[in-house]
Amino acid sequence: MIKRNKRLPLIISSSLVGLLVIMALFEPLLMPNDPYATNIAMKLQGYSAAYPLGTDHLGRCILSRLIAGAKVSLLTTFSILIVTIIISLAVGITAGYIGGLVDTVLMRLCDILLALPNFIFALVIVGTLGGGLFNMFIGIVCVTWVWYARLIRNMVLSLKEAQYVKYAQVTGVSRLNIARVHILPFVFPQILLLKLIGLGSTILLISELSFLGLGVTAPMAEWGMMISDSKTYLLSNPMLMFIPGVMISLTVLIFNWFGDTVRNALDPKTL
Amino acid sequence: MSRFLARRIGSMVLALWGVSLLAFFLIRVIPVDPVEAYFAINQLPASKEAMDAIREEQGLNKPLLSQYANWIWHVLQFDFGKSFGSKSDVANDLIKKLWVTLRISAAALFFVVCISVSIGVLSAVKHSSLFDRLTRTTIFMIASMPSFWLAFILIYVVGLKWGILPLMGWGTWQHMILPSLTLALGLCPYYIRLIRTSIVEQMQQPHVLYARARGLKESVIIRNYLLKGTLPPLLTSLAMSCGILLGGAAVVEVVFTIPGVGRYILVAMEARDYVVLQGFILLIGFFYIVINFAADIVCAMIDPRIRLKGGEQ
Amino acid sequence: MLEVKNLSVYVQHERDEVQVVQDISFQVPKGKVVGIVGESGSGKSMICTTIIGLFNQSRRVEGDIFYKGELLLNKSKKEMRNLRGKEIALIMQNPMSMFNPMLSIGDHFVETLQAHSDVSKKEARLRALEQVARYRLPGGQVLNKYPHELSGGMLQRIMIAIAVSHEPSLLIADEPTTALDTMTQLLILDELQAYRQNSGASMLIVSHDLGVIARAADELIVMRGGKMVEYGPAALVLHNPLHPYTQALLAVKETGRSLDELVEHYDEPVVEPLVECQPGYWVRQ
Repeated sequence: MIKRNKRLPLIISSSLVGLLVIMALFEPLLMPNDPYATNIAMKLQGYSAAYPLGTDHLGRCILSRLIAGAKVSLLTTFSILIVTIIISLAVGITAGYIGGLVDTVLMRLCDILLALPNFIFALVIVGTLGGGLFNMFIGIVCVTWVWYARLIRNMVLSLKEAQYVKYAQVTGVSRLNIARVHILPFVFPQILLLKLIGLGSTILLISELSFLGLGVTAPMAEWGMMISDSKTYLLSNPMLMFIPGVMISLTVLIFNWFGDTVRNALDPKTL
Repeated sequence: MSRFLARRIGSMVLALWGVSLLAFFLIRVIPVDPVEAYFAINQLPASKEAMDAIREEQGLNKPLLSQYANWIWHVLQFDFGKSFGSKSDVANDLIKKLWVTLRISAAALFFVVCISVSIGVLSAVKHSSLFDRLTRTTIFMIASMPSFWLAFILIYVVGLKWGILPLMGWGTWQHMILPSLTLALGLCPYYIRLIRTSIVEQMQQPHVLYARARGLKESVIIRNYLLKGTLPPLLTSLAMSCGILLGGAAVVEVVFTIPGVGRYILVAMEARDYVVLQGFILLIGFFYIVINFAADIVCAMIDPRIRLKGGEQ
Repeated sequence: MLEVKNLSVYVQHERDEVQVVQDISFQVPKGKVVGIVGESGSGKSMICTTIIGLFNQSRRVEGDIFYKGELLLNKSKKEMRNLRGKEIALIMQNPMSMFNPMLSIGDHFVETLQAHSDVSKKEARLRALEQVARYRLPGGQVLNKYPHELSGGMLQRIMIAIAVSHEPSLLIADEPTTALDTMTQLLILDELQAYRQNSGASMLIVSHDLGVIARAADELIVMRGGKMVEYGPAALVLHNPLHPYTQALLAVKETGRSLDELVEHYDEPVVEPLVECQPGYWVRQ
């Protein structure tokens, strides 16, 4: 594949991501109605000028709730991304670079945390903490940093053997400076890329936990919860369940595609 | 092989012990006191005396280490204790519920293997064909759909519109099809991709060229070269997926109202039933570790290189 | 035995088609050894795999290849498969990556034997043992070993033992001694020679090492950039080379330098027409 062929998908996918971000940032301007205003008289309405996508069982505007949900999903996803990168970089570089007992202890901890399936682990943490947006955030961060920390630690171990790092050590550059100058700039982009590829699955995880009632709490709009709310209306109003699902799928699709195109643009071998 | 086995068993025992620590301390590290939470959730009058009485009864006022030792001692005799809320035997309940979940998961694994091996192999052999491109687009889309939504779509189409399968509930084998299919659909994209990439990669290996140069039949090459080479990564992933299935089952069980371990645990979490929770973590962790161990052993039996490396990563 | 007539091979490289073998003609008479020598990238290996039909749509072939008077390029996939390994055996370079890492050496013998004859696994195993003994490989042990447990030289010798197990009448050896130590190189050449003498088979040896070719070949083809430069009796070509490229090759051999160095120093294009300067001796003049 020629580079030019990769640029177009990258431009399209990143502009779609941009579009989603803009939607999340400027949500109040885009919403036709208040996403939290209930109006029982107008419940379960079809499409209309006032409610472009109809209303839910409490008479709330579905379109407005979709847009409000974008903000919740994306904001949570991006904060999870940032926090996990920071934690895993800190743990991975510390373990890999200092080595010895610190490394052993940290890696054993990782082993133990990895001994439990990811989703179950998140489920248990969120469940015992008691649901809610913040607790869900904690739960997801708790399970996702582990794997990346190990990866970073292994990267650092191989970097430590590189000649220029050894040279820096011999010439007496301080440990902190070596980590800052020689290790971080190398590890960071690789981890960022991996995290970008994993963004879609984080969005899915958020929606799944919310669906189980462990994520966002009641009046707040979130796509997974919107589907959960519409369970009982599957027979009479299937659209109520269909629309937020399409929204989740589209968002995840865009992020997955974005991750794919970024990877392809950087690494020609994978195609 | 024996050295590999010894190393692998050693690390398994270590992992099992780690899980027991996790199960026990996770509940205690989290800044929510189970007794307080229990009183709050069940809207009981939270007097100090009543709470202390419960703590006394559960042994929660003893030092942590002695609590842990006591718990492990009972766990080794397969006694997970009595539920905090319902007072029923946790080990018994968990096994009963897990059996339901395991059956769905096993059926899902069966679907996954059937679907992804056939499509993956076909896609690899005819790679870059129309079929291959169509498959890749389709799995890319399916991979983006949340499982619970897929479940509702299946319920709506297969159950409501066509009316051929029961919508929800549990009982006959028909009840198992939609839930396990939902779980399988969530995993298939990953497996089709895995098998396709692996086989395409194998086809470019020089040893496949040499096999052709010796005039081996194409069927032998597919069996002994392409499929056999794909087996170790496939088995390792399938073992990992058992974890995903057990977790994903919680979502599917809620959608289809199946009395499995996932729903049981959601109820227990609602009630802050820490006895059930720690039993659950231990059991799932145990199960997951043993499955991964078994997969590693089978891989080592298939691939001599793994045996030689002695189980290092 | 084998006759190659005006063979040209083109491969698809990104969007363009590149000609890697240009209009090659030669013969391998019964019981004779023909050597092809040239630097890496001169299209030697391409000739080997083209003869036994191991290529996909990305390779386009022109010209004719006759084996025992029959056109090989017209044969069906199935007919070609029946020839490969049975009538025409190929010994490949890089033995370390040529064996299936998940099968034992014994399995490789068995599957090759079963590919062309209707033998049970047990019989095949016995025949493999005989073969191993004949080539003085360390007996039953070797059959139970896996490829990664053996050295490259050992694997190369096993490859020969496997190749000759169906007693092929044509043996094609593509760089059979590359990356091996001198002792093993000699051993392998001796084994190949011994097989030819015992069975009367023909052989086509491809190498970038003139020493190897000098030891084994009756006739010699010198290739450069996909073109034949000189083709004649080995004794004549080696002792009195006519083409400057062959002379340069021999000079390199004398000084013991690598052929890759030659590529850098020798940059004259091959443009002269191929002329038969005496019966059976062709050179570009």
